[in-house]
Amino acid sequence: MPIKQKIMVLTISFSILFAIIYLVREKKLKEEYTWLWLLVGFVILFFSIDYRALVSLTKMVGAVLPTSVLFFFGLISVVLICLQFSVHISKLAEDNKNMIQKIALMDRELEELHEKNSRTEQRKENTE
Amino acid sequence: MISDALIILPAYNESELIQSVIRKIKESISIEVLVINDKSQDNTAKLAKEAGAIVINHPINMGYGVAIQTGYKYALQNDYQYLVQMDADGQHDPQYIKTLLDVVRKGDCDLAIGSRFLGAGDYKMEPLRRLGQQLFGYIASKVLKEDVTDPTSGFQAMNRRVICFFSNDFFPCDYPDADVIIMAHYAGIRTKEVPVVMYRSVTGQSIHSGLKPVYYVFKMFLSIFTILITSKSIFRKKFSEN
Repeated sequence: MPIKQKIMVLTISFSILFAIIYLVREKKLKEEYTWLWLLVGFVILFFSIDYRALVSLTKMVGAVLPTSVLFFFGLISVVLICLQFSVHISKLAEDNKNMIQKIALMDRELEELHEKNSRTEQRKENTE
Repeated sequence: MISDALIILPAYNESELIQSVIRKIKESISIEVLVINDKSQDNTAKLAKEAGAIVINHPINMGYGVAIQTGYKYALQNDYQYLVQMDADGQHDPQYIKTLLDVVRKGDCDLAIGSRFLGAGDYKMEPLRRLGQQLFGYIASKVLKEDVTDPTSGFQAMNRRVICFFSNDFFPCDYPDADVIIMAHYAGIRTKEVPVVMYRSVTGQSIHSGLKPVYYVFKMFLSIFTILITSKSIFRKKFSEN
């Protein structure tokens, strides 16, 4: 791998890793969402350091250029991350729906209690 | 007053007709009416309350499917044995509430679906909508192996077991139509179409208005596909638990 390309890939992978670690440290990113990102960062770092491993992988998958293999797997990782996010969003949407329904039902219960309470108070006043 | 049954009306910006719809219901049958106000921008909730309905307010707009599911959950929470769902825009004739309820009460089926195409009344639908309806009706008929003439009917009556089943998370809240009928069939719910009279919406605020039909067709195919690939035993197990 040409030195310029190596520097670029190393810079990108280190930046990704540092950004993830920083976000976790600052409690801006939950650990459960970090594992795929960390995996991507480490894989890119590994292949940019060990060029021979990347060449072997290129031969194994039948590709021509090692860099395109790196980008190809990067793209697959992004797709997997998106899928993971979709699963989480689906769960959040369901939780959101259930919570809104719960709030609406509790609001109604509270209203009923208020009505009941005011009726009893009125009855008390009338008897007094 | 029929105390073991509840009518639910999901409503969004229905201030124009909500009071007359509730009054007509109360004139035709003595039964509790619940309006699920889906964060209307007008005074739907206030008018519904004035007309004598119980009102539940969604804190944010969630759509028709979520609103009817809130109604199911309310019915469960308050021990109702039967439930009738109707549209709040005056499309459904309240005279048929009793007919639908009676079919379920007799035990002829668990879910009675009011159909506007079984001879009662002469409902006219726009050709494109009718085409979509016939398409999904055809798919549902093939799956159920019996005629489904009105797969988009929101005029339905059900017993407690169905209410319980529809309160689950797998109820398709985004346009519940033909997909619900197919899901109900797989769960072992006995469905039956009953002739009812329906009128065209006066307000024209249908969930199938504007560009929504395009999304509706796509979503319905997707939803039916999801139900077809889901293990049928999940639905059956969930329904038999109730």
